[in-house]
Amino acid sequence: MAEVSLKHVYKVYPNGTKAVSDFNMHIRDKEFIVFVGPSGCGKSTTLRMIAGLEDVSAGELKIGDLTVNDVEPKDRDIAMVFQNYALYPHMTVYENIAFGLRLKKLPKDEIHKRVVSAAEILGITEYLGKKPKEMSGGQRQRVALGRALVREPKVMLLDEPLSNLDAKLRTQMRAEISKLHQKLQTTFIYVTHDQVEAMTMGTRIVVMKNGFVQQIDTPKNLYNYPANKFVAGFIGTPQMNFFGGTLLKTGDEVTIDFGAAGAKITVPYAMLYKAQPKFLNGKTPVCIGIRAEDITLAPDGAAEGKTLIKVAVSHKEELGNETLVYGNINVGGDVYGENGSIIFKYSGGRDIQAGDVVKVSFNLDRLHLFDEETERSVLPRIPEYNYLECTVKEGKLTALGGEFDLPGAVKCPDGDYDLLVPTDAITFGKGVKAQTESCEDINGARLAALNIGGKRVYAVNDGCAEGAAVSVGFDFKKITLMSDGETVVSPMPDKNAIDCKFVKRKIVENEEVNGKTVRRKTVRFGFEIEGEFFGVSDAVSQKIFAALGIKNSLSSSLRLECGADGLTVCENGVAATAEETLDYGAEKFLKCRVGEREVFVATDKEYSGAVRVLPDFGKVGLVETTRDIKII
Amino acid sequence: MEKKKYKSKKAGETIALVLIYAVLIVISLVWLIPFFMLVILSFRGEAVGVSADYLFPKQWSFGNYVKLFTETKFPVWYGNTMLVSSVVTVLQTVIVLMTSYALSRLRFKMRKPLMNVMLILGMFPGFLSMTAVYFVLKEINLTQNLFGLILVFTASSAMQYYICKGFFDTIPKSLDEAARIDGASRHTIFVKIILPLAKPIIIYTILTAFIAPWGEYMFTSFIMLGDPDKFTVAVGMKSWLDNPTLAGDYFTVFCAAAVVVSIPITALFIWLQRYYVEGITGGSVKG
Amino acid sequence: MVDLEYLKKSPFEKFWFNFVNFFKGLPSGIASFFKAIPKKLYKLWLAFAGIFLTVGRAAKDGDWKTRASFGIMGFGLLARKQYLRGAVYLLFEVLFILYMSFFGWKYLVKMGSLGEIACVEEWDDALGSFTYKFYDNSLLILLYSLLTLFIAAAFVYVWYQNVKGSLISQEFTEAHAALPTVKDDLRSYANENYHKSLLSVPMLGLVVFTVLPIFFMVFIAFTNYDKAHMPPQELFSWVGVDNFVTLLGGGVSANSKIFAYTFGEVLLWTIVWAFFATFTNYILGMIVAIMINKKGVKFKKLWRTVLVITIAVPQFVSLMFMSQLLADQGLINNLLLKWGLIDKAVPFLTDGTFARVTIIIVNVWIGIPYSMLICTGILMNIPEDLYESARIDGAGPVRAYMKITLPYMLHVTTPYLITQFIGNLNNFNVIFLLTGGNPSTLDMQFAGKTDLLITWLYKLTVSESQYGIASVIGIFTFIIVAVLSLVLYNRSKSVKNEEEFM
Repeated sequence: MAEVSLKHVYKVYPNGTKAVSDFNMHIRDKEFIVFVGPSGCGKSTTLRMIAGLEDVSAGELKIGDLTVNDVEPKDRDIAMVFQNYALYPHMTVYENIAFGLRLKKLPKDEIHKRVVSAAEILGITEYLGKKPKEMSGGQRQRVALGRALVREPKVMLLDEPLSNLDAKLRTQMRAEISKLHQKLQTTFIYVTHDQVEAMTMGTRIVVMKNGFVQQIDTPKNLYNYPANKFVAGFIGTPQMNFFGGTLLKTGDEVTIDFGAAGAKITVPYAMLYKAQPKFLNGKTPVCIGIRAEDITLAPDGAAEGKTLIKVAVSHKEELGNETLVYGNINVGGDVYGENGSIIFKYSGGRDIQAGDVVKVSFNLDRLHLFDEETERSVLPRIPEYNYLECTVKEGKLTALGGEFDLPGAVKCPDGDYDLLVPTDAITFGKGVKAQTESCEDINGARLAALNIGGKRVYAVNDGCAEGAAVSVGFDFKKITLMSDGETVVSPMPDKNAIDCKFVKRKIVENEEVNGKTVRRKTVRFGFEIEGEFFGVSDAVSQKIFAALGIKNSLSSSLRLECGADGLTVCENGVAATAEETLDYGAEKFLKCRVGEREVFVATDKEYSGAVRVLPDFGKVGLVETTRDIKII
Repeated sequence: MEKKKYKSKKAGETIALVLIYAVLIVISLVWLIPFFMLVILSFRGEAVGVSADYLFPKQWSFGNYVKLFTETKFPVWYGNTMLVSSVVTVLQTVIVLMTSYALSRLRFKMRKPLMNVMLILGMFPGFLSMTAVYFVLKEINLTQNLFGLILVFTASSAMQYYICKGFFDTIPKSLDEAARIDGASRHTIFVKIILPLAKPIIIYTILTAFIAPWGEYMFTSFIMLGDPDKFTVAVGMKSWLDNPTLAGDYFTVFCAAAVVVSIPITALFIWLQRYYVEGITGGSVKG
Repeated sequence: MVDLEYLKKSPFEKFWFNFVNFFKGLPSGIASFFKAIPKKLYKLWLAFAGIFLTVGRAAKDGDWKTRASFGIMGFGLLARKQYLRGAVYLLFEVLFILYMSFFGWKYLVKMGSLGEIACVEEWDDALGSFTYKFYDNSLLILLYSLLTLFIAAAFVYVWYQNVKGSLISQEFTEAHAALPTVKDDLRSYANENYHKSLLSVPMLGLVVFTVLPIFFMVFIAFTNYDKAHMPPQELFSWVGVDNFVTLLGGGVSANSKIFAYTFGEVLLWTIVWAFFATFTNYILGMIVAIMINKKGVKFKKLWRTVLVITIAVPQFVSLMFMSQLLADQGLINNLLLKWGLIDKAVPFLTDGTFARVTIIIVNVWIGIPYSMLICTGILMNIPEDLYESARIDGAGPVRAYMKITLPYMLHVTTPYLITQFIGNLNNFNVIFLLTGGNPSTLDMQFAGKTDLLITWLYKLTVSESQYGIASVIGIFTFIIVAVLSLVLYNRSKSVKNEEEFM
């Protein structure tokens, strides 16, 4: 019945700490969304902002079509279930459930009907006359659910509703809440710190940490494609095994070195195709992750192969149908040590004892690799770049077996280079012939894997179709050329930034009314850039007011962000100094300077000296600089 | 060996218990005897003043009580005190509850400063401001007037918020939040959720507010100076003892008056003991 | 930060460590209290600067409606259909102007001199006697000019709110945002502004009957208001810090030395009294509570009720009765004499030292039931498993008491102890009703041997009309109490954080 959308939502406390940073999400109708993360990650705060119990510091929060930033909780058409149930102790169950309806001044019959039907749904009819303290935890939680659902809300918010229950009851209530969701067909937003709850209940899960959204995805994708080490470690029990190590590419193979533990395995390069080259140099520390269920016990007599690893067993946990084995891949060292410790599952025949040294093999398809420094996945589902090699000679660039004219803007001496082509800089149309091997929809983008003369190239392009033959070229303004690790040609930045202030101006206009000249004063809102005033449309100023509040928005420091096509050279624009014209063949850009900053403007003419450029205020992005908060 | 040890331990425990009982009995006597004496003295029929050297009356009589209600202003004082106490109780309870709720549940800019200011105000010796209050009351013709006394007792009740706020703080915040989502205004939450849950502390507040005017001497004596018709029992009874010509004669009457004053308060107190104990124990340990 | 040395200690040693540190830290606590003042002042200044900035913005950016609000309060709001708030501002301004022109101003102008002529004696032929015509009353001038200052300050604040409100409503209009209607405004007083609805009456009472009087008395401390300068017959006037000097012994009059001596004596006794009154009650009360709560002791409820009954009897009754019993000619002395236990009356309340001890003992009698109740509550909260683990570790009852009960109690009741201590510093009833501050002595100015600062203050005002000096004593008492309690509170908080018991 209602969609919920959060755009650049922040929660900033007066002391400057950000409990929630730049939360962006669109929750579709009837979804069951779970916010999950360790305590203090901002999940409850986000839920409470949706409920209206906490103010939204910045950003836009919509329920249905209504922006609800300043709407009272009761008018948001939501209901909430609290961790400690929050039942009114002095009222009977009936009165508890009816309380909200009575405040709405619904007719008595209607209230009675709704209370009774809610009680029936939840099976608490016989307790209606009791006080909360006479009931067990599970029953109380049902009453709390009942109180929420009699409101017939568009969105149900549940804040760790099961964490006060014992394990058995929790499993049972979990199923009941899922059933309730199917029955009610409303949007559910559910907060929990328990990843099992999240995985079993959610249609989509939001993993959060320190106020930042780590990943939003379906349970399956979270499990299979964790975007970073945190998500990988958080989702799944037992926790994913992590080892420190390095990757070294030699020819078509990559050696995964488990560092201190001394173990090594070798995998084909094709598996790590999406990885940036810098990770494959045998030096950059990476984190190798593998889940316990993706490790198989190799037969005793298995020959030392390229993919086998020795494990010294420290102890095991018998679970009945399977056994969890704890050990360490650092066979010679301390088997109980943290470094190199490993957990794997096995079922069936063999009897493993503590102290044994066994061999295991990793399911290489399910190997996860993370950058040790940023913790982000080394193998993102949509790779950022294609790593190619090219030769530049006399204004021509040769790569992928084709020859391309270098546009005037790309200047570099002749020679061999590494070519970094972003996946969205592969253009379809003309160029070298390519075969589309596969197409995948990933979080709204369409990724094509192309085969160009035996070389795999990834391209993000909505027009791709599996098996189709296409011709591809490069978008030269996005490419990077590198030689021996030194950047020779850098891409044009895709975002221009201009500093400004949001101000208001009084404008005096003379207007002819019935033959008389009338002076009219109007107030206009706009940006002050480089000391000049630029009025903006109502739509833009309303967005700023909504995001920052009317009182705080005036004279706030902002940063405009827009692409090169968001700027035009124009007489009534911002004063700038033209520096040079960049010619990328089909497109031309003017590089100029506004104040301290360098900006790029799409243009088809050449300019020099003083020019004026005008941002399209309807399309720009805005960042509030003092708190570093995105507004639009 | 083991058995012996066990026995000796038990013996030690018994001795300890006997000792404790002995001490408790002594304490109880020490605490009760003065009140016992008070009651006995109030029935003394003969007028020997303070300096008699015996406790039990030679002549048991209700004379002191009769005298108390017929010859002295005591009935007037009693009525005064009852009136002041009742009105103060109502007003003070309302004010304390309102202040405590606002300071405990509502969040506004001046909340912390306000609490600090009240803390600091509480550090001024109350009597310091009394003189000024006296002149203010005099200007509006409220000295030697019960209404003035009520005003003085209730005006600064807000400063008694501490214990009550402590109690409100223990009521989970999520109740307020649930009620807000249910569509209750802050006012509705106060009246329909918090107050019904605050029964113990309301009773505690009523009890303390009711008792205070009975025992208060400093302010009352100052405001009512020179008009015996407006005295409360505390000031009135002290005036008997302060007057050297009266003290001897009125000693037994004083005892009778003390008994009459104590009876209703003691009854009330024992009836509501549980809440009182909860109030002081709860309020004192919260920092 | 794990301090192994600290963790090694047993709970009691930990407590002792903290206890010692607490007092060691007092000087630095006091120092840091004063060090924090500049920071606080800076914050205050920032708040003030904010006010000026807003007013400046209203003057610069405001349209004519907003600017008109500078003179006619509420105009900007009325012009933008915020009728309720606008009308309230306007009404306030009208009332203020009326108040100032008909009442406040004439007192305010005399504040500097506190009046010129107090009263004139005239021969009235018709009556055949002198009549008195009263003019300036210093007391009323001071009182009303102070009141006027308060009202003026309130006016400035309301004026600022009016300008700010007007500016905000202008900005809302310009931003095409909906302004709250009268109905919204009214509704907000049950919601976001509910604190205003709840607190306005209590705060008004507080300002008129507590804050204003305190300011008044602080001003009185700088005047020569005493017996010789009693309005309406006489004027009193500003004398600067003379009263402070007198009390501290630097005055020229012969009285000054005695005053200083008295002040020192009374202050010392006040602190001694507060210390003993607090700790005797506390420790003895705890012992009684432990005895009653001991396992195996029967009739727990009976013992407790016996003590609670004594709380129920109004304190003034018990105190006055005690003062009669303990008098030189009182029943107790007479009985003891009769039984031949003593030869002559024991001066329970008439000998300085004796009286002091008696007071503390009587106070124990009065106070133990309270502290017993409090300790009982906390004792019952001590988790049973603490004792069980102590017993398993082989601790006897005494050790268990020293290692568990005492540290736990002290830890939990520190705030209570502090409030008790502060309360005893100002304990009027016990002293006044028991001894009236007597026995009196000629060494001291209007004070007896058992007078506390507060009872001395009472005597100085009620019987001696030494208002100026009394105010100074009041101010000193405040300073002592304030510094002590602020420091104690701050320190006890830090102790609390350091040692989370359990």
